Amino acid sequence: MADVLRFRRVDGGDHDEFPARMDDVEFPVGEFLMGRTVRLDDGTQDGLQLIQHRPVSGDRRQQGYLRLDNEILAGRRLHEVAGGAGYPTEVVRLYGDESTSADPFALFEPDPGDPLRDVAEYLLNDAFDQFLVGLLTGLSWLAGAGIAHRTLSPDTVHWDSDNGKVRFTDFSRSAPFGGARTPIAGSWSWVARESRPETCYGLVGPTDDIWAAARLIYFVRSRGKDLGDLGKLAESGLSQMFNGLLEKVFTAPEERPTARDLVEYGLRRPHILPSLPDDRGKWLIEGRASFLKARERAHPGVPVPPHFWDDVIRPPQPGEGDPQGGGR
Amino acid sequence: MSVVVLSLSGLPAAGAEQAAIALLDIDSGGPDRIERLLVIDDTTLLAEHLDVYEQIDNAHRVDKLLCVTVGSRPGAGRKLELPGNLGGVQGSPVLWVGRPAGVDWKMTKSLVANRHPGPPPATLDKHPLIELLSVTEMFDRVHQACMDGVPDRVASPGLWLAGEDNEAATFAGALAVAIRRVCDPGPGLEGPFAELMPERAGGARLTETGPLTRYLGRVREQDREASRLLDRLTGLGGLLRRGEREVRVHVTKAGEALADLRHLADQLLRDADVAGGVGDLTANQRSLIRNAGLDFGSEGSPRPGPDPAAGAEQSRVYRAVAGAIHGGDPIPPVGERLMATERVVGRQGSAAYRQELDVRCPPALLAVLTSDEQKLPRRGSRAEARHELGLDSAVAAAGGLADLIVTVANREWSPAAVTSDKLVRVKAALGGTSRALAGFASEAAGGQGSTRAARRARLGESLVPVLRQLVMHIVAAELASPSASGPEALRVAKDRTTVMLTEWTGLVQDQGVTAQPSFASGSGGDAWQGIEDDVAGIRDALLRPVSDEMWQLCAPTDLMTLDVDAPTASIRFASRLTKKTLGSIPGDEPVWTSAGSFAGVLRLVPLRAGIAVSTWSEAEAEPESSSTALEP
Repeated sequence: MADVLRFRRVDGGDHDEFPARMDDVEFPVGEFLMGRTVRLDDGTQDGLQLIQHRPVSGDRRQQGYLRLDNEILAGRRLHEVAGGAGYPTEVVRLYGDESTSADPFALFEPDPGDPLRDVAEYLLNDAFDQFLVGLLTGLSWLAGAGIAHRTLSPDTVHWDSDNGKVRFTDFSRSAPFGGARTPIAGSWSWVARESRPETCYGLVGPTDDIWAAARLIYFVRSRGKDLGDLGKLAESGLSQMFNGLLEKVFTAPEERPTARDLVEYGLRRPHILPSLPDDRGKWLIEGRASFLKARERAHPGVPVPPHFWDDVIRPPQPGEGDPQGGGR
Repeated sequence: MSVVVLSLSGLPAAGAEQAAIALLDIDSGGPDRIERLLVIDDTTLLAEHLDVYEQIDNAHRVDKLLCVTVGSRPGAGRKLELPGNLGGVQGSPVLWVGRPAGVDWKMTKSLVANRHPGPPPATLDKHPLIELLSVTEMFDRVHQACMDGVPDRVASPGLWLAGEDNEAATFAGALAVAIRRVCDPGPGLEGPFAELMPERAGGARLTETGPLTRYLGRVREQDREASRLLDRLTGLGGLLRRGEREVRVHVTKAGEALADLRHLADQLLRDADVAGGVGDLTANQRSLIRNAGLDFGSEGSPRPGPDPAAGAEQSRVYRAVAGAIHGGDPIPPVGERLMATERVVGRQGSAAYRQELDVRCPPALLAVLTSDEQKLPRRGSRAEARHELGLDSAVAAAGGLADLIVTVANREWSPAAVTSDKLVRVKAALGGTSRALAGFASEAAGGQGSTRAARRARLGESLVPVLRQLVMHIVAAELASPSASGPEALRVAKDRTTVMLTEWTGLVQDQGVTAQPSFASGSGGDAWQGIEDDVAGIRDALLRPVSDEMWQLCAPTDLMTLDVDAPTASIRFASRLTKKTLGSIPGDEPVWTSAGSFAGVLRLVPLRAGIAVSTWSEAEAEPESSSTALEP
């Protein structure tokens, strides 16, 4: 069906209209989000293929708006941080979004990879190193953007075997550092204790994703097995590979190493990390103010999420994070 | 070509004409030629459709036309009036179905008929007669029988049916059964493939003249010399000190040879190391290994030949997997065994074994052997002296070092050893095959409702060997042309499997269920044998006398128009599935159908002379202008 899509490209300015063809077939792309293929008319025969994410219909649509906001925020933040270096290849790329209308959406470039759930057991030896580097680089990008993915798992992390690339997908539960953690339902294999519904506490921070990432490393290393006990890290050679640092991932979030630590002090390799702009706080405040304004226009009366401003107005202090005083 | 059906039933003249044009007009996209055309029409509308039949006739593009006309003769007419190109001595054959629900009737002059049990078919296209005539083999035989043996080429059809399964659905269902056997999760892990272990696959050995063998030989030679002297000395009253100096010379030389061996072993482990075991040896490293006196033979490396797949089949991995698959192991446990093997054969680099040097040949031993300070006991046995001098330990250490080097050579350096990547690729190929097969089975499950489970199961069993050949074909293809990555191997195997399944099902559609696909060899696909019980009903139906009670597709009032004295053509039919099991059937050869789900007999009872009249206009239908007689 031929139509016109009005949206803002992530790399440029105001809203614009683009002729597009939309697929009728929809598929789930995250919590409370549906996706469909769209082809923007770019002068080529097939058009530019993108994946459009939209909130689900029905009584969960309100949650869908929030998930979509998360995806847009993460995508735009990553784009800003990457700056002239281009969008990080380890992250599915946001192409553009429309967040102000009653039918908001985000457009992502298609991901040619496969979920690790399907292909982890088939990675060849040299691919493991590429995976490791890609995963930790991707986490470093997220840390640079001040974003935690929060739902890393073999389903949301893809492997592009043609290009030897890791790719994080589904940012629908992502959150900026400093916001209060919201509970994440899901398998305990992939949700750290501090984010599980029963034991959720503290603020989102740069070590939130490393817990699931370390389990992913074992998952790939062991060709598709979940990490049962920490003894397996030594058996699999990972303990030695990371010079004992990987075990420390499975502690309270405040004590965990970051992705950068794992690269520098675990693997003992040099690394390239994205640098965060110095005016991060200012940029965030302006951006979020504009976001809330647009949101209010689209969804009048929707309350501002709790702790929305916490990370930019009052950055988390060292040791802070467990209001109940609980640990793991 | 299949049978083209043109249904004019219920269509007014204009509609019928439109349907015919759509079919016959080349300019509107119609086919160049129609080999078999089955026209279904209402008896009451035949006159109204005259133009259509004329059009068909004038188009000259239909090779064989067969008309099924349904319903009673119009009005109170006693004649069955047909368009000019139907019936008669030159027209196309017509089957007159006076009443689709029919009657059960024994072919006698008695006009007594019974109600046929069961509901009438809801629509004409679902009528068994139409389904039967839509099968090319049946269409041809019925057409021929009418042309050759039915007066005026118009007959009333009678059926005797034995229930039978649709061949395509039965095959798909049976293949799903076979797939479940081949893709079953299996009993659990049996452990790695012993034949793929480095010790058996690596083929490493010390060459006879290389430095490693030389040092090892020198240690043993000096040990022998020392032992010979010790024998002599212990024979002289056990006064060992008397020949100590000579013994010491040999012990020292043994120590020096052992030190050389240890040094060379250390050099090899260090310099032929590939970091983490990831990557290949350099040319220099291969030279170093060769010059140290290691050889890997040729076992396990397929010789290059014109057919890469044939070469792949010589590989150890192929043979191991083929042994398991053809031996009855399902794919998942074979994949698990490959992974268990992969964990064992995984390389870590030869430098990781350097710590073993101290265990097998402690530096303290070398010090003892080469030390001048160590004195022989004054008296003692030969064994005690050897022990004191460290000769036993020296020989054991030399053997231990040689074993270590051969072990490392097999695990880390052997070009013949099975690599982790190769095992992963084969596992991926099995995984892709399994996924494609599971997809096929899941689709087939939706369409097998009408087929018999017992038959599916038996045929499925016979398909298992062919399916295993398909699996091994995929494995051979992957080994012959390795994919760039594991996920690619998975994808490629999935695609290949889908292509091969499509080829197989297509072949079965063309040639029957026993058709051998190109990837199958031997008699695997020929194993399908039905069970006599299964075909007993079909045999009975095929042997039914033509005049016995059958389902005659006419109204009771039409029976008087049937000529029971004239020879009645009969056509027996059954699915190709049952041909072998049925064996020889007395009488005419049945039509072995490639599709459809019936077996039995179709009888074509001719009409009494004069009942059917062929004409292009109602005026010509007068009795005097036709070659017919009045109905009695």
